Amino acid sequence: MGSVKIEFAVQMKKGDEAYANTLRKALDGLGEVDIDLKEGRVIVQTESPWSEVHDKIEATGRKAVLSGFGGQSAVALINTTGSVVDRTPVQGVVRFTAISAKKPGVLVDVVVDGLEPGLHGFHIHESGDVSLGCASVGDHYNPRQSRHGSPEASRSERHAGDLGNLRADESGRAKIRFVDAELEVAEIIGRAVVITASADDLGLGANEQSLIDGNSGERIACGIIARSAGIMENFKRICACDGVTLWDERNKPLAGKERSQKL
Amino acid sequence: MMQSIVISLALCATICAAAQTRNTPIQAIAYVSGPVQADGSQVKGNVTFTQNDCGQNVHVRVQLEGLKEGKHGFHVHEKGDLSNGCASTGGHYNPDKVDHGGPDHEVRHVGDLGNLEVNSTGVIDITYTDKVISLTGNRGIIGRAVVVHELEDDLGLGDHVDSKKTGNAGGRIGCAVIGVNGDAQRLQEAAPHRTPSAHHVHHQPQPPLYYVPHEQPQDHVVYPLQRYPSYPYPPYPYPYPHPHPHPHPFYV
Repeated sequence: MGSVKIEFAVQMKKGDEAYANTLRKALDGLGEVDIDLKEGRVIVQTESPWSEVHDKIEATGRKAVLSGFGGQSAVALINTTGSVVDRTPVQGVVRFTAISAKKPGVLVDVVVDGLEPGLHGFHIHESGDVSLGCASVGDHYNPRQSRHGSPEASRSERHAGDLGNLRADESGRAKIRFVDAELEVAEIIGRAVVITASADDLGLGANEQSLIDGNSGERIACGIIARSAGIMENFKRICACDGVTLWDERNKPLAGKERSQKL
Repeated sequence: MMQSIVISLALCATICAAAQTRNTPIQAIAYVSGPVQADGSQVKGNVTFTQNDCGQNVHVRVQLEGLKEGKHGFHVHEKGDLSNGCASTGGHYNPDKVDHGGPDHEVRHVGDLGNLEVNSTGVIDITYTDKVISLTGNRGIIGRAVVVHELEDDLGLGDHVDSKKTGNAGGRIGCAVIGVNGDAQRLQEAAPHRTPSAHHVHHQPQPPLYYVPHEQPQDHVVYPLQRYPSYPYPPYPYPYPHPHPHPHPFYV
């Protein structure tokens, strides 16, 4: 499955050994844990989804923010419009990181909420234009002009952007972590990931549409794949323009008056 | 105006031919949609970046509405990761670790695009050329974020402590991830002979370059050079220079 290093900024006091021990206990079994008590930085080398590690750190009662994911990495924030808005019925995060600097292969880590329980098609589309919402991101990313297929199929039997299906559980959450051996992070940056209403039949359906998009139906959510920080790349803790700190960002809108600090 | 375009077109072609650095044209788009402000206004619109096959300059077109009158700082940030707001986007895109400046300054961040000057209508539609940003390679801006600020960027010339770092442009009123424009992709596919990897690329006949205006021509606007006919411009029936003896529709 490929283990990656995930870096979290955790709100802790400098030199708080007692908390470090609590945290080590909480993260026991997830993988190798490296805690920098001076900087408040925790690096976990793990095969678990980032959201699980994050939940386990926050279960200790401290705020944690993911600040680095593997090496060359990318992230797509998923919602029904694809652009930067506060809340929509479907919300999620898809993270990508290269599994090796030399070979292709991308680790994909998905957590999406608000889906109908069941299977949903999951694809990378060729463009990152969300000016008309998820409709304007173009077709499946398909640089080799091949047919639609399953992510397990050979290069000529699938679109490069065919990532198969997500399975949403009873609560509407889809959580999956997998490695796609064909993709590269550099080629998908600036494109979009799209989640569809129906299941992708992986090109095995009886009609022609199956070879185009797997009869995966309407696009219900999408997000542009953006560059993000690998581990030890982003040390920004405070927004210079308005003084919002790392810890408050989660409760603030991305822009606008509500960001202003009145302390 | 027309003369200068013809000259710059010829110049560009000459430079390209001399350097033998033909790139595929590429376009990027950032759809900006800010939060609704207290007075009901909302910053909304597109920022498009076009890099023609010459590859040295990027033409930036900003079409935004819902802005307050005045100057607004306009930057590209290092990451497009908005998962934890301002912190996860990193600072201004600044691979050379230099001081903040204006878009025409010798010393500037790659991501320093200066100010958007908005008039009383609150709508802005400008096209200009930036010599520093690029859409391709490791230092390309695709996948990074554009941010529009509330206040004027002092271009590193102010006396505030943040002037040399951020331009002290105040809070953010809109941001967006810069994505690939897929239609430009299709344009590339339509012209496979222009892939630079082909060894014999320079021996193949190249279609001539045309100047294609995107709307009503305006004197102060620098238009991107594109091969005709091409997206995103509507398929104009008249190539330029106009071949027919009767008057050109735009220049009656």
